[in-house]
Amino acid sequence: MIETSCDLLCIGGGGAGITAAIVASEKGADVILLSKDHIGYGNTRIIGGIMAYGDLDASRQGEDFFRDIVVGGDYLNNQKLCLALAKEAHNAPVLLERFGGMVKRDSKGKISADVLLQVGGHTSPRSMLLPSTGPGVGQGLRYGVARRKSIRTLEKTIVFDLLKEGGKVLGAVCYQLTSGEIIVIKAKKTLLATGGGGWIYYPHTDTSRVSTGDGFTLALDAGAELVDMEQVQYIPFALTHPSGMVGIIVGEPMTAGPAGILKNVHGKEIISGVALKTRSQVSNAIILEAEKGNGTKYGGCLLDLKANKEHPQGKILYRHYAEGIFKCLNDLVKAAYGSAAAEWEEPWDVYPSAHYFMGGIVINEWGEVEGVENLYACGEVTGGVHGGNRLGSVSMTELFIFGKRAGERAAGEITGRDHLEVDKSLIDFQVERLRGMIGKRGKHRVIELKRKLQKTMWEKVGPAREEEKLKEGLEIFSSIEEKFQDITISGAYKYNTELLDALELRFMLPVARSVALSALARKESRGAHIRLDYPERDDRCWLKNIIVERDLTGELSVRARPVELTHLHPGTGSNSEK
Amino acid sequence: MEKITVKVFRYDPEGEDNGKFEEFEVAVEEKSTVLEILMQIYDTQDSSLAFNHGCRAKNCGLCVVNVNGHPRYACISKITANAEISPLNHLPLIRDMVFDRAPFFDYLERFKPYIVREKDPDTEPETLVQPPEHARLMSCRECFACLSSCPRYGYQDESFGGPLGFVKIAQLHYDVRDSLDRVSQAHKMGILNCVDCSGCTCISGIPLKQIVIKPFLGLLGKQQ
Repeated sequence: MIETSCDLLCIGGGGAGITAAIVASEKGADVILLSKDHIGYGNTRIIGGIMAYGDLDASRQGEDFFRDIVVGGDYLNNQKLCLALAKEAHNAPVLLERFGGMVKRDSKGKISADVLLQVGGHTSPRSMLLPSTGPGVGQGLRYGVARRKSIRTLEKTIVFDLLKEGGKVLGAVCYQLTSGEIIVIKAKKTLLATGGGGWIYYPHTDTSRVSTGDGFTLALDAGAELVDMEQVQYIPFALTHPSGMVGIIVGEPMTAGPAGILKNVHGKEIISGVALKTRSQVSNAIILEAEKGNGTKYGGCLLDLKANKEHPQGKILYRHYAEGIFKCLNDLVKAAYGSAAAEWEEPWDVYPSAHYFMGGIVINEWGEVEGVENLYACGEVTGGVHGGNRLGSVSMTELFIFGKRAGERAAGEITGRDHLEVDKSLIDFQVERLRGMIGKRGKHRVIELKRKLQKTMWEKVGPAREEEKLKEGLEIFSSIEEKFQDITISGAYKYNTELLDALELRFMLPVARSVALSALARKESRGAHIRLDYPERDDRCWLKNIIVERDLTGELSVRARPVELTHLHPGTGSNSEK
Repeated sequence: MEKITVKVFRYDPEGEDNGKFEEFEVAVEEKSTVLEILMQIYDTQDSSLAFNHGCRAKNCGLCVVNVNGHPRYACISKITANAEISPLNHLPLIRDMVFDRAPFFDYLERFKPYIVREKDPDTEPETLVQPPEHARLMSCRECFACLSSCPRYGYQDESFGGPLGFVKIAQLHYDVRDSLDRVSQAHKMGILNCVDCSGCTCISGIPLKQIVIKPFLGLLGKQQ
């Protein structure tokens, strides 16, 4: 066992955690940056390459951007967070570039109207391209960390549990895969930037395998609230076959282009003007069409892009796919569906795939976790910014804006009075629990339980929901929880893959339950949440956030809380209002 | 659905030997990939099998392994009967397919692997014209396949940084914000070893010879 200490422990090595770590270290904090994968990976590493910049006209102070986020989110958003994001969006590329990344510019080297794109749900072109997509961002972020010698990094390290005492978080107990070491970190402040939970829908997800929702459960266990966990964004255009490529993203509404048509198996158009629609609008159209039995034999709908090749703007998009920044997507289409599809001569069989968790930990504008002392959070693990639907390109902006806010606040609140005395018996207790898992001999294989959970999430708590199925899902989770008490884990020291699976499944179970309980509670269809038994959005009863937390017995409890409509409410939002 | 046999390299750091191939019988479909098969083995036969993967879409570079001796993205490479799946070459193994990336990045530290500016920009976002080579090189997956295919590289040999080392230095060389002499660094990293060699390949299609090795050798007065 290794024991160490720091001012700020940042858990999560994607964009949000790195930004927080760098900003805090520049404020003088002694930072440990911990990542379950390598630093600069996670879903930040695999982004498609768009980041919202906001409108060029700064006199509007992000007002239009703010309105689009809230209208697009079906009013579930925490508007204070949205306002902060919209006002400060211009700072996102500045931070990325200070660390080492680069955004696309015009021929004069400026960010101008010439390079801004309009992504679905945005009412104006305000998104930048990232020329080297996710790998460029990831490597740029790694430069930023490498330059700051005071940041200590721990890679391939998974948190077992946070150290907690009387409502305060005091650090974490972890397992490092590559060394096999158990590491105890005592920290004055702890920040969660662990990303979302898309992998609980594997294979129906385009997220990275590390997205197992670890931070949601760590926060719940520390006494935090999760908000709107039923709001899982499905990206509309993902592959439906072959088996190894199910769920892989091949586009989003914008990439349908001006002339792209989305059709059912009979050739009937199911939603018009796809490119300017939000992700939830397009995904929901596909999901409901397939529910009616109008899907292909793989259960998908058909995205026909061919007419773009004859359209002046569509041609530009085709070039991006054929040889530009979206070429990697076309390569995947070619591998799955063949050359004619990759040349847009044949339509693509597409179905939505779990992409992003809008819901998450309840925070304030400064990334402070409500109700838990010493704990901060930023990025996808938090809830409230996006409400019921995230607009394309905004998550990248969020990483930098809220990473900076949380990192600054955490560093600013570290004082000499903070002490690092953690009760030894508390540490020993946690370490012994972790050690107790290694070499455990039981009846069940962990991976089988993990796959069972993922299958159940998709089939019972997936895109098209109804009460009966959700209840069946919860029953199955109970049986998995029971079997989880009797599992087998290898006794291997280094790179114990079964231990990794078990630690992840331990996080995934409460996340799965939170999503299902929230989905059961919200008796309406709103944002990305479709209830076949409650097909309409119901503003009279359900302009509410669904909150999950642990009650005094440790069970998950759910309640609804009216949304605080601090600035904008339905009726004043205009544009896509029906 | 058809049954085939594949050979997968196993290495146990707590075991006694240096690793060996193990045969597995697996079920495949027409387009089954190497990653799918590794996952199938893991899920249904042996969940101690260690291998990396991330995005399943050729984006993260984490799943790259040798297939019949050549580096490939496991996520999009078709599996074939009797395929030999093994870890990349020349790197310190941790378990099975998983190698340790830390020695490479520790070595890179001495070359200041980040942007070193002469002065901070006056206004931000600043005016920047990005050379196409920079954009291309920043799309590197850091998958380590180029090191595996290099005839000269070895992680313990500090006189030679290998193609990935040159790529990392070249990213900064083409970065208009960086002020360090990266050409001298490439020299120190042993790029003169690359004269008359065309051993390395990039499985993401970055033209290593054209935009990394030749330009550096040219600036050092060496013709290829």
